[in-house]
Amino acid sequence: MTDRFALLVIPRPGIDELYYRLDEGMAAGPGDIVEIELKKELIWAFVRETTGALPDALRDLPCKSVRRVISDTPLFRDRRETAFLEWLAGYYLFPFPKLIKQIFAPFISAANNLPRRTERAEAPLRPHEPATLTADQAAVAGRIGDRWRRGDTRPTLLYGVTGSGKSELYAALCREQFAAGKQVLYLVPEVSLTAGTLRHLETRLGEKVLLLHSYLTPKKRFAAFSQALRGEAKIIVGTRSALLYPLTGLGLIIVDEEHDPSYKNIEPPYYHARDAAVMKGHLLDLPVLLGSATPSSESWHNARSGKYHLERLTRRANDRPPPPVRLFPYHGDTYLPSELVDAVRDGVARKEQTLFFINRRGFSTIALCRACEEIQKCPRCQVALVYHKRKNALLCHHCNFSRPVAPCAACGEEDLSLEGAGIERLAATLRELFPAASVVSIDRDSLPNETALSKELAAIETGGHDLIAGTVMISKGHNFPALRRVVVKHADFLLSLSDYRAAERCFQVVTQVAGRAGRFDLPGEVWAEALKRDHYIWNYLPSYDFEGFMTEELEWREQLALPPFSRLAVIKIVAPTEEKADATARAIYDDLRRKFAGKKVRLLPPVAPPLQRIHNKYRRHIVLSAPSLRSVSPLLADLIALHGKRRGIIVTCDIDALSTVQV
Amino acid sequence: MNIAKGIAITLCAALLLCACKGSSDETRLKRREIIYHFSDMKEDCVALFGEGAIRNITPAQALADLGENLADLRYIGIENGHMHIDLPWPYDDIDVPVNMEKNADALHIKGIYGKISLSFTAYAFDENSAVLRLDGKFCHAMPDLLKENVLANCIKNVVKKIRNVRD
Repeated sequence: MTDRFALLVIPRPGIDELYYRLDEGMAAGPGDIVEIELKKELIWAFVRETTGALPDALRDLPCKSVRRVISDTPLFRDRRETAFLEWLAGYYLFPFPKLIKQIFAPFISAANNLPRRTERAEAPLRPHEPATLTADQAAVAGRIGDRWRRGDTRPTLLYGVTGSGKSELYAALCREQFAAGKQVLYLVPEVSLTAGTLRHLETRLGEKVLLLHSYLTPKKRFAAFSQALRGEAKIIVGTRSALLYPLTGLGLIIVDEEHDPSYKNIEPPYYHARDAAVMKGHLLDLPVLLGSATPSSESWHNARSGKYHLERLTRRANDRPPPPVRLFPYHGDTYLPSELVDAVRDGVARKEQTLFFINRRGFSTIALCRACEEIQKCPRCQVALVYHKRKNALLCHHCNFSRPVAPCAACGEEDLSLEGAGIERLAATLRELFPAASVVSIDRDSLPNETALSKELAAIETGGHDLIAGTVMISKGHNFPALRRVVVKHADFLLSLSDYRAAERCFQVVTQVAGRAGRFDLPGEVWAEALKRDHYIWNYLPSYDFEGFMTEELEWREQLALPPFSRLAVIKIVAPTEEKADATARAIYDDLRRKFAGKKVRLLPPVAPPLQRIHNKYRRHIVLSAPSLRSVSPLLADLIALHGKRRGIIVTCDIDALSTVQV
Repeated sequence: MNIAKGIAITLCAALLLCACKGSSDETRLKRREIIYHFSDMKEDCVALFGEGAIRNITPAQALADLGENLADLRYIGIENGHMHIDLPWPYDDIDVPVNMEKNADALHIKGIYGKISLSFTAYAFDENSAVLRLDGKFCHAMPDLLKENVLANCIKNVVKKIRNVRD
């Protein structure tokens, strides 16, 4: 009998990996989930690899046996899938065992079992309605498909203006993968976009589409993952976390709206799903298609420098010009020009819809005491509380703290002034101005779940509402046939952020939301409220000159050695007291200065981020930039390990951070 | 006694492994697989030995065909004394000047900083075919699997390209 041992990833703090014996007949292999006994407790573990012999140092030590295999089939059949997760953990400085725990722990019960397979009646497929590609779309699809058939899997950036029919092109390329017996992973930036994408793909392809995202219950998510793993669905639509699951027969990864910052995980591991998708494609030797009407500066730079193939769709599918943009000045939070009000009123009479976009939740963004002029802040996070009229309360958008509007927390005065406008105030203004219109508000507070959102989106699609007030939730990926007009309140508000990426974000948000207008038979028009008319963004945005804008944007970024011409890392320190946060940040900063002395690394002293206290924890950030993080990362990993060991202190590092000013 | 026995067992095992590996590699080459093996090296380096059989070709022709494809291998392009290594974002590509040495039996390409080297050789496999072999080394501060991927794709790609023309 030959000995067999398994190197197990242990999802417990302080223990990374252990060897366990595989007794005869125990059919566990790499990628399996098994049950073991550890410190008199039965726990699950992940088989990283199997071997015939223990390392020399362990050879004479007793070795416990694996008790049983929990998974029916190996979850990672392809070694390269595990390699991808190892890369992700290594690159984003996150322990591999913790990553495995994050992925699988939600699925495994207290008794160490995976959810059982339940046979459910499949929902009938939607009627198959294939679309015919326009000449432009067909040409682009042809070129992309040719390259893939030749085995050229270099990533492709598809820059297609809004309404150019990128989704139709994706569907056509999916069909080619199906014909080759392959699966497609289709990533969207937000859960709210998954339902619409599913509908579109099922209709166009006549194939079952699986959803895989973190809003599904663990049981449903595991069921979807298992079905995908068994190859029972050809296309999987998911958000960033879907990328972490291994699939069988994956042939293509599509990253739609690749510019969207939602692809970046906002907690450790701070992975960027777009970048990770490119890496997964490289490791699994499969093509990756990134699509956007406003590509990110990184992807644009990569496409222009030849790292990605670049394909363009510069005309709308309906052959109409893009909706013209008219700027109007800021004259108050609820101001709308009279010409616009008249146009909207006429539109309501003709059953044409208007979308009003404002990227702020709540009714008023500031509650100010009239007596002592104190802005009411969250006692736990020290950020301004937002007045929500529906709840008649002041809310913290970071920790969900809630309190009645009055009295003032500082002086007890009852009279508070509610300043600034959010979506609730905008919707109320619309109801006042257009009493005959049906007004719907599309934001997280009005529509707290998927069902409510889907219902309202369907109502908008069928003309059930005249006016739509929406936050960023409505700004991309939706097609509303009767939507004629888009009004963007505070269009350049994002420019007031002191962040190098502010103009890029502003261009993206305004272009995306403007792109909802006139996608079908009606010609569109866009009204944008501009506070900073002299900013260079306004030289390009009204004519949708993305390439001109990006050329100017990248020129000054290169001069200042900002991303994508350098890499950013933000070291984040969280401590229970302000003193500990300062002391730890200072110690790390001093260590970094010593280690990087003489190297091409720019280091900014520790700062308190805009949200310096959240949940009663104090935060400090250290920003580091370097031409490349390759040689920097190992040193950062050491520092995190060293300083993160102190009681109550958490040190993490956001590799390839999207912003220098992180909240 | 124990040490001698241990050495004997180790030698037998090594011989057995070599024998197994040799025969299985040959079988795989006959099955038209492109095979490769990696070995870890010190200081951020990986080494690869990989080979693939090509029909209707002599070893000399295989090396000549290789020369025609150097500019456009999968992740590597060698042209005008420079090697470009195409790495996936978020890594930056690598550009390095190389020295090339060519003789009847081999083509050696070495980066001038000693961090990458590719040695191609060819030998007759059977009457009608030859095997193109790559011994490569790649050192860089990045995960091994990325370096392995670059080297493995290099041999896979060049063998496939020559096969497309020759057999």
